[in-house]
Amino acid sequence: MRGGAHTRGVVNKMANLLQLFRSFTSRLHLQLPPQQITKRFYASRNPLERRTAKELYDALTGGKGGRKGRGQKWDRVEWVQLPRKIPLGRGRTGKRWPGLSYPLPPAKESTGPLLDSQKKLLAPVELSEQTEQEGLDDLGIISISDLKGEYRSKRSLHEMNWSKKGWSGRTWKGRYVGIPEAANGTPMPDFHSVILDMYRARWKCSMGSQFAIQTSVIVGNGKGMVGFGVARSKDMRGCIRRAKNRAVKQLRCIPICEGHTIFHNIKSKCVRTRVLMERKEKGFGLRCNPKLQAVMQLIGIKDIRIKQLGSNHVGHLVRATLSGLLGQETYESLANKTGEFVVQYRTEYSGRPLVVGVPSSTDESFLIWLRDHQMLHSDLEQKLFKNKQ
Amino acid sequence: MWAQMATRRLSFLFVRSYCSEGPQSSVRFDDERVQNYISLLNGRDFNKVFSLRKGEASLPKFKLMNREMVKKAYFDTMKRCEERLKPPPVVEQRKDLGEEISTDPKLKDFDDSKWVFTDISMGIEDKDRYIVVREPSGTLRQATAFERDRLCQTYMPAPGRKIWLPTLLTKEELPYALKRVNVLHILDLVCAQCPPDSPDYIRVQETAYEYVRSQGLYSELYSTKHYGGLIWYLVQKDKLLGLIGFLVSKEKLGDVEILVKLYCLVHPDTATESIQELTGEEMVKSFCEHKGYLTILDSLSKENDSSSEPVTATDTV
Repeated sequence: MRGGAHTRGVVNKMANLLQLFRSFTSRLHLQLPPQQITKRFYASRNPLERRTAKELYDALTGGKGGRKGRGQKWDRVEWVQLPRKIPLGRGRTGKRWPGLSYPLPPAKESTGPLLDSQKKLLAPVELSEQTEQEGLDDLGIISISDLKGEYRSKRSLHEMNWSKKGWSGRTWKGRYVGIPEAANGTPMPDFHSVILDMYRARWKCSMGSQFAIQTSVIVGNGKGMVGFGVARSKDMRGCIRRAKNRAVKQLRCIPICEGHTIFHNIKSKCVRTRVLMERKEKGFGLRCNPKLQAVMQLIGIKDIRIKQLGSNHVGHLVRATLSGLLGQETYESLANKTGEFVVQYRTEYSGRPLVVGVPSSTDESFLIWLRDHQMLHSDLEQKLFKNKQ
Repeated sequence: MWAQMATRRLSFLFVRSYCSEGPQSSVRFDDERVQNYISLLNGRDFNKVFSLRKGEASLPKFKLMNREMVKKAYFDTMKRCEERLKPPPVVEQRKDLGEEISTDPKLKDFDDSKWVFTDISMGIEDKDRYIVVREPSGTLRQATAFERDRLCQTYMPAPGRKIWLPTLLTKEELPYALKRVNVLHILDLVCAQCPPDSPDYIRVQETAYEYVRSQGLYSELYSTKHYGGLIWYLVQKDKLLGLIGFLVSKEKLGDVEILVKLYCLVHPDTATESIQELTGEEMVKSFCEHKGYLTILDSLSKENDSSSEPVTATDTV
């Protein structure tokens, strides 16, 4: 009965310990005030206080070895050495607060020389290269050469300007990717491009499964010209470039009503995606899917509401909207169809009638009558009398 | 912004004829001939009369029309435009009322403050309303014009009008306000705030017109309802040089001719009688010779010689 003897021995030891502990505490209880006892008692039991800072950090971040396999890079939190990036007491902008972050300059009356430490603090702050580049980025649109840091490593994305990150955090969706190139290789500076979708496509062939990156890009000049292109490539940079240049080859001209909206409400469809577009007044804004917001910005439409139903497929969504916008009936076509003048009444202009559409069969004398009697809309007047003046 | 809109819209409501004693000159502002001339001088610019109102954006409505309907729509809007351009009345300054009705010595020191009795029954115009005041001394009197304005506003508030005069229009602030705020806004505000026979109304209008003349801002008031008042002021004060220069620079000699006719009507004289017999450009030239407006004569002769750009005359009177 070895085991029995062993257990008995353990129990005895435990009992002895308990007795000792009780006597110890009772003695303490007699000698010390109750506050100190409790403090000491709990302090010894708190695991957080017993551990060192390094042990705790390892416990949270996965320890020395960390996780094995995929994704180990991302869960790890690294120490940031603050003073290296942001000098303490200065801030990112280099703004200095007299009396707080550096001593007040001496009054004019006191002519004593400055201390060395004061001279150092009063000297102008030198801007680092990083801050100067950020200033350039504020111009609006980043070209690919400016985004070199992004190709270097994914981590540098965290240091990018948040306002230019698109709608999906770390990924490429919704990001401006510079100006496209025409077929002969000349850049087209009027146009901008936005990535609508990017994912890793996979397909199978005799060699096994193949992978490539697929991107869909929308290109536009903000004045009605727009194009949509999709490309696949194993290289990400090449993929974006090819998609952009494909989009430029398929440019279409979309009529914009009075420079801010569409001519009438539209319903359109592509495969499983349905799109309902509503004409809206000035100042309404773009209330739609973020992908369509980018499309509308590149077309140049400012006020619209779009409801999207059915499938969320990017290509079908864009094709449905573009086909709907291309099929609009302009004032001119309506006038030609009916043979009558299209007259517009607006409450913000106190219900003043303005002719916005003229049938092509009207003689010139009546057009001149309309112009002289202030009945023509300014856009239409420019259009009709542009060549004659 | 809302206040501005309200005043702009409502200032049309306060256009009504006020009967008052005849002004100093023989011809009055509400004379038919004067009104006719002023309506001819008003440029009917639709872009200005039906200008954009902020905060009222909405979807437009469309109509399909043939030629006759388009022409009819034009004539309808022209009628509305003329209504909007009707100038607000120019009348004599009112006399302060406050006649004593009776005195009751028994009521002396009945209270610390005055007691005002107002007839607030419906269907009476504000100027005909019966308002009396009992003084602490015991006298009963008619309310003064200033009191009448305030009481009518408290009981029957007119939208866009305040009980006290806005600081913008006070005597001390007005010169500074004119430099910062659009003149049109100040004139519209006064139209909404004060009745046309009140001293404040006349003071603000005259200072605004004088400012327009000194700065040469005729184009701001052109084709608005305040243009008529401006013309009447300038004709009466005989300070027409800047206005004629403005019209000549815009190539509106017909307007100058009408202006001269209006001047002759207001200032009947042996010299003006001879001018009245002439017509066209001769009339304008003889008028300018009579008044000594040499800069305008120069620009007129230049126009005749060659089609060069007309010289704008600066007001140095």
